[in-house]
Amino acid sequence: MKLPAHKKMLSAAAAASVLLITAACGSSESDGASTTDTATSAAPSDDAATDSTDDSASGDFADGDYSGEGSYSNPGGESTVKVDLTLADGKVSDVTVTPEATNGTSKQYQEQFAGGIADQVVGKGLDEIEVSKVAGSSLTSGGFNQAIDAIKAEAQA
Amino acid sequence: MHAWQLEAIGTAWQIDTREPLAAGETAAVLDRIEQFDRVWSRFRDDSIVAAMAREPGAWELPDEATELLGFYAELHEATGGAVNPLIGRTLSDLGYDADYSLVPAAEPAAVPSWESVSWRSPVLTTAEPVLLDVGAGGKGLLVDLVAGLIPQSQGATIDASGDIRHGGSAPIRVALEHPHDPARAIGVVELAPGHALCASATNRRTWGDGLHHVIDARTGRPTTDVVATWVVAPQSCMRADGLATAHFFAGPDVLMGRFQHEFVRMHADGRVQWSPDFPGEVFV
Repeated sequence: MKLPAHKKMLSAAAAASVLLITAACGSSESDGASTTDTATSAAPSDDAATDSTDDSASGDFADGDYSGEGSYSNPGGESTVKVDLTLADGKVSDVTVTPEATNGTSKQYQEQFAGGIADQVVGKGLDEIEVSKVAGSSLTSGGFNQAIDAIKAEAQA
Repeated sequence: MHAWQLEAIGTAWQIDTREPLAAGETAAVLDRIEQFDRVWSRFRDDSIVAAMAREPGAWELPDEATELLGFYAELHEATGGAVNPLIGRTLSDLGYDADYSLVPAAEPAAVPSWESVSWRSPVLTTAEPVLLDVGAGGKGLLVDLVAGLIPQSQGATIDASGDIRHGGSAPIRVALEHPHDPARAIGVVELAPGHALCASATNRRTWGDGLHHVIDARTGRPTTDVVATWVVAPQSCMRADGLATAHFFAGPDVLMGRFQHEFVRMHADGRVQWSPDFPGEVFV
């Protein structure tokens, strides 16, 4: 594994977490736990997310320290994280993600897992990246595909 | 590099080796696949699984069952019963049957509880006919079994369409296919030698509104929250495969605490989560 790629991923993860939290706070008026500056919008955070992989991005967000809290649900339950970040020259210069789970298992997990969540993934075209294989759901057999085609034809008839 | 492409257990396989396999080796691989299918397939009437679906009994299973059903028991426990190999009848009733009728029954069968059968390796004792579906780990296990038949010096990489076991000497880069657009990747894995990567997604084995092959045994219906998962695990493609299914149902906290692996998963709302040491990059 190439270390630089990994580091880049982690910083992108942290920035993406901020984006998630901003969105969560913005969409949930009743979330009393939120301490995020309500002036935050998704756009500057989005720039921050881009910034970690592209140095040309610039933020239109005031420099300073920001703090936010957000929750996300997963099949195992609700999880909460607190994020503190510092913006300098319109870029994220420091990010700290603090787990705030009270639930035992979620807490244990978050302690080993601060970062690594994004509320959207842009992705890249396969022609833009160098890979030797692609991993997705299994290709289906001829029999399955024929059955699907037959159903579609019937639906159109 | 030599690539051998074949179709086995209902999907496309490719086995990459340094040199072409000897005739005896390819024959051994094909024979192993056939033996496996003859036991575990629910898509043929002459398999043991098909016989178990007709009548109850004490079924003596081959050696690989110890590993497979033992792992299923672990996954069943870790997912609160969501992963259960007794989903076969339900899956079949929902339309994913041996004839690919793809038409759901009005009232699909409920999934029998795992406790309703007794597994004392090598015998599975059933009190009523049950239809096993080992889709969560069976293919990964078969990849492991096939890998064991190929000399290590070949550095074989086995890709069974979504289940990849890499035996080469350098890492390979594998794209994580976007479940909504096969021309895009949501990330890339650097798959190290000796590791397996398994992908699972609901986008291909799907045949109607909300009907796909990833069944939550607790509800007897296709799951809706997670749409795609990827798991990297050392040494065992079966474990990577089963954990890829488990990530549709259980919290990462539970799975990361119990099983050695790394994961990425995508939710229906587009959210993506991944483990901190995931060996690669997610394109956020």
